[in-house]
Amino acid sequence: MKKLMVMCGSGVATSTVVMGKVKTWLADEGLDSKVKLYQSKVAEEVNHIDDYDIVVSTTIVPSSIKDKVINGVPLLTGMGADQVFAEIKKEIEA
Amino acid sequence: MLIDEKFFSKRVLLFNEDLANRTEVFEKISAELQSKGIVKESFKDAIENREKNYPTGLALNSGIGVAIPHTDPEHINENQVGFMSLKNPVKFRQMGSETEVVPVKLVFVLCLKEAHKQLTMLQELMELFGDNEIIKEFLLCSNESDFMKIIKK
Repeated sequence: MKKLMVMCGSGVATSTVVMGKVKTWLADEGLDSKVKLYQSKVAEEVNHIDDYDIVVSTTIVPSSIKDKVINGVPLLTGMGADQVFAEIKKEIEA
Repeated sequence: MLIDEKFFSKRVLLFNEDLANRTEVFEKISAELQSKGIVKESFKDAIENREKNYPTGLALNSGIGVAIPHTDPEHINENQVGFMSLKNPVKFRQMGSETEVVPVKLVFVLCLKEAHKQLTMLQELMELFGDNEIIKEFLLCSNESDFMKIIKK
């Protein structure tokens, strides 16, 4: 089971929307049994980033963890969402 | 219905505001929200700080910029969405970016006490951002009754 973290600045608004989109997508792809979802705020997760296999964020993250984080903003607006899902899928299958 | 109208029940709706920058936007909308009892006194500083650290500008397909400023539930009394359209675009930073700037014409201030329970509203709002026709209607609309007509569609 892969651990997927969705985070934003407050851990309530935009991460909630992205979480909803990811959930629907996982179900459509038949991947929902392979992934456990978590939701939080960036400030709380900076030091725990290695606890997760996949991290999606809608906000700026410190440069120290930048490489491990997928930009989730396209999932909000829908523009470029396919590419984000492709990245997530690659990580799930990795 | 595009969005549940209860989120606009207090009618914090401001049209074609002539404001120069983000600070003026926050001052204006915070005063309005506070006078209607929706947010606490701490809201203005909280939302401004949060925007600095975690920008909320979104460049839409249509080329129009929107912003969805919001902050922690502790500054909120009541679930509402405040709306402001701007006469001239005001610069916000793009969500998730440290450098990109978005010229914003529409601002939706999300006042949420428990956002997890507002998923539907947030999704509906994002959905609507993808609809160029609706965005155009928001830009053109200049009074409460026209605004509510769009929401009730």
